[in-house]
Amino acid sequence: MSDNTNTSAVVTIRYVVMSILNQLQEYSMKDYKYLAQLVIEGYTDINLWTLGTVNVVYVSMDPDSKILNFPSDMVDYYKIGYINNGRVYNLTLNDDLALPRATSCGHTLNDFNAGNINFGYYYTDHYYNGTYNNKLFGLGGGLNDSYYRIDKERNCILFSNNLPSKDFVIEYKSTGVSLTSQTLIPRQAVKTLQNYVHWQRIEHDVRVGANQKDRKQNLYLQELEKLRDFEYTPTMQEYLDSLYEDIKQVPKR
Amino acid sequence: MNKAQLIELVQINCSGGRVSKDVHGKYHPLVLERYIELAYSSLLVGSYEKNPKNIDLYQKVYPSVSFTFDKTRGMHYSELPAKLVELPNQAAIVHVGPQKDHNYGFAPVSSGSGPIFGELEVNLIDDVPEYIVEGTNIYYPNITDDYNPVLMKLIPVFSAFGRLDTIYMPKGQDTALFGIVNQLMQSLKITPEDLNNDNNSKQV
Repeated sequence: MSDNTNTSAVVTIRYVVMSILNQLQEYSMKDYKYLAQLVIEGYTDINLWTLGTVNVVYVSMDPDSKILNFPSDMVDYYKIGYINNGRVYNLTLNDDLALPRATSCGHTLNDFNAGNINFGYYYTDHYYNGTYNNKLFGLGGGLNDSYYRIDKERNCILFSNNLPSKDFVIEYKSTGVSLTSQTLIPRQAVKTLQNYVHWQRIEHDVRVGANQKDRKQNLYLQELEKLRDFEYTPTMQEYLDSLYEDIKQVPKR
Repeated sequence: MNKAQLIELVQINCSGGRVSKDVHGKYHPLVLERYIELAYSSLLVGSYEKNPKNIDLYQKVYPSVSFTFDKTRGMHYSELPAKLVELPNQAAIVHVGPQKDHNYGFAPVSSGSGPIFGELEVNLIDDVPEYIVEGTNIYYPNITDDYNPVLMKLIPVFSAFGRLDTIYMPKGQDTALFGIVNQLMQSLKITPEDLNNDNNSKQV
């Protein structure tokens, strides 16, 4: 680890709250919990719509019911696959799978035939079981040999019954706020969060004029736009990679 | 100026000069202290309303306020160590926190906020100890015994200061205190106005 003397690239929720209190020159803890809740709501919102964070979870399915409960913080999923011999196979969405309502969760589903397997997706780099996994290959949609259906009513996923594994990997969009460990907020989102809180503080106050509310909202939207630029703009290297990918050397004529 | 000096000065002021023996009894220091308390609190509230950030000089630190467990309510609590100046938004409680960690403070919450925060994420992810002020007690809904006793920085009323404690007055309001005390005493006939021009300081 290098001996870095610069400030941290990530901060905590408490840091953001304290920075807001400092901006207000309010040197007491009187509004701490109120502001902390606003920061949590603001960060959840920014995380869902602007930040490109992805969570990965390994879960085991109940082999009898073929049902897998969502992680409690999962808002939406990116990829669902199962692990077989160290590889991840993507599954395909099939909204024709019958949802087990008439009987118990142990309802038997139809078998589906395996298809050709030619393509794959990258999974986000992550740690699992003490091992760093980078670029696990999933297999392409539409060519998979097993299927799933999302059961939003019961907050779970239903699988077809020809799965060779009960261990799954889900790549998903989380709320971004951890209940069990420290939530780390990227530095580039701090100013956006501060402006979000300053706007929300007055937004529901009937004593504050509409022009003030509009101004605070605009300041927030400006910061949000800056954050979007930061998040979505590729680096020069990524741009060059993309450029060179399509360049081919051909014989001169 | 310390508290004893201030009381003496007010006493001299009320008597119109040097305090003679008979006047000394008339303006008893304990009675004067109560009047100064009213004037002092009034001046502090006025000063706070003008500039809420300028209250550090008026606080008193209580470094060792212990709390006990209230079995009936299932919460720890401690009694406020002093009567407080009634500043808006409970500003008279400047800080409640661990005895030695200056960088950490407890978060005040209003008495009715429990059911609301109880349903929100902030209560699940932030374990900062809270306190609720109820009359003369402070309740701590989520404190642990490790924090016992706690440190409090309060803005107490005048009578809570010791005789030798330095008393700070709001900027430019030093002399106003004498006027307010005189006015209060006049209105309550503690210092009846001498209407007779008979060269006699006694009111009889």
